[in-house]
Amino acid sequence: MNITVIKPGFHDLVQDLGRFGYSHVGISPTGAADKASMKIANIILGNDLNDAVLEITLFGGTYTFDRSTTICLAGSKFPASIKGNDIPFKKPIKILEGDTLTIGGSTSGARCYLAIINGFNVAELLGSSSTHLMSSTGGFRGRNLQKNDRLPYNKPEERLFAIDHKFPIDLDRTIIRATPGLQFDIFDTVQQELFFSKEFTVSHQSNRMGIRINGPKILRKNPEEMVTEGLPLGAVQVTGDGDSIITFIDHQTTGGYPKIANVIAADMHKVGQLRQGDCFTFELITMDKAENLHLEMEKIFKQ
Amino acid sequence: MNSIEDLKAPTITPASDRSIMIRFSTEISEYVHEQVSYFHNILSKKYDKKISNISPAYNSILIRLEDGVSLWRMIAKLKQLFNEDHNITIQEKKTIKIPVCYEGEFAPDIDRVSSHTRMSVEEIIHKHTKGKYLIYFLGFSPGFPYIGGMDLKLETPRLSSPRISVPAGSVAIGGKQTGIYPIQSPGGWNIIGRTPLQLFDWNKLTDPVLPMGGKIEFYSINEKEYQDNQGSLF
Repeated sequence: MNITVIKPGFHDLVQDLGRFGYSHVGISPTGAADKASMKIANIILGNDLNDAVLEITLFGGTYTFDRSTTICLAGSKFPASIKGNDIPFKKPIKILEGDTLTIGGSTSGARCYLAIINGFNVAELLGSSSTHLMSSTGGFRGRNLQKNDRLPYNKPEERLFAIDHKFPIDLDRTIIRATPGLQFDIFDTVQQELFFSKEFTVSHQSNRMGIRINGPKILRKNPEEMVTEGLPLGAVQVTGDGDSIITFIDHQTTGGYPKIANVIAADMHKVGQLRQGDCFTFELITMDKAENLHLEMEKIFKQ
Repeated sequence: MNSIEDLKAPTITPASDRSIMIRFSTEISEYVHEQVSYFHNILSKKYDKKISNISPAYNSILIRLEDGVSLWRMIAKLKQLFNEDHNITIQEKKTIKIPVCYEGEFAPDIDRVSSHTRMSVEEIIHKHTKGKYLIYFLGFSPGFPYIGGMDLKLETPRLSSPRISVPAGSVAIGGKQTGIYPIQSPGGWNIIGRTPLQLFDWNKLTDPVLPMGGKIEFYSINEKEYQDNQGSLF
């Protein structure tokens, strides 16, 4: 069973929770940019959390299903319809053989997720279905969907869907919380205060490797070259020119720029929803608080 | 085999609420590399249920925790681990001999290196093939080796604007370092040659062609030999 792409979206990618355990050979995990929304879509369908989904960025396309199944959309709100009828997000949607789903442009954040019963069926690479764009591998032929592609999905079975899930997940993108980065202390208090008080705007030069943000220049007085070291997800690197970049899911595994801050795990899904022109500020919180927020979020997905 | 005597306890700090940085030294040396390599092995075996990714580098190891694993409890466990006795020895290194064609279209920047270093192309090839290079770690992109040991007389600044695409197998000089691109990727280093061999294989990640801790030697081949071996596996 396949969906046929009648008209592709801007950047449709097959993703799961990521490819772990290969960072020491230079392979970053990739995976869904907003894992919270991806998990919600899978939970509503009764799928495994890691079942492969379609990640749709900025605007979606038109897709025809050749067998009946059930899907669920979650994430930022995109207009979506089948046979001219609008379909809601975060609800199981019955699909009949030959149905065509049309997804328009986002009215809020950057991404939404299309989950399907038992997931999309692509060959796993190193235990994951996620697309690794840098090396053009994984996912569906290592690339985004194009016109006439036929993306296979797994056979559905009859399921009873639980209603009334509560997902207190916040997609607000005006405040991103962060802990001090590995090189926080090499920046003086003036630079630290600038970073955590001024507004940043998401640049058009952003992608899944890094979100470039325009804001105050964070210039150090005596910039020394740093020895290359491992790069944590969400690290905010400051370049020699004083520009800031949020390290994102397709990031290089190691890097040599100092890291002033690190977005907390519980807010990484918000980074996945940032789009060009979005304005936000960083809020500094403690490591303990950040960890508690992560653990609370984990509980939401254990229902 | 030499024993490393003055093993200092590394510093361990949270890097984010989901990752921990372990720093062994501020220096880059073969001794420090052995520590990194030794603990990388231990961590990947002992804590495979708690750690989802390990990124060793020149003198540090970054670990990423599995979701739900406690940061501070893991830090306490690591401190305990480093307090135990460890007998770290310098390991025998596997040497990988890599054929490189330093000619024509494979070496678009060799003249730039020549004019910067004021050495003839022959001297550059001689110095580059004389070196024994250590693979400190793999990082940046799939299979990319960070190698050390280049003759500093070959030092040449990076290109002012990076190329969008550097062919797989390209051998290059960037500042004080030399490197080799296992897969096609962007890059700003001076390309001085190319190997016909396939250096990265998704099916051989547990035993990569260019492994962390391996030694590299380059030898010069001509264009005919390049064509004869193009795409060969190691």
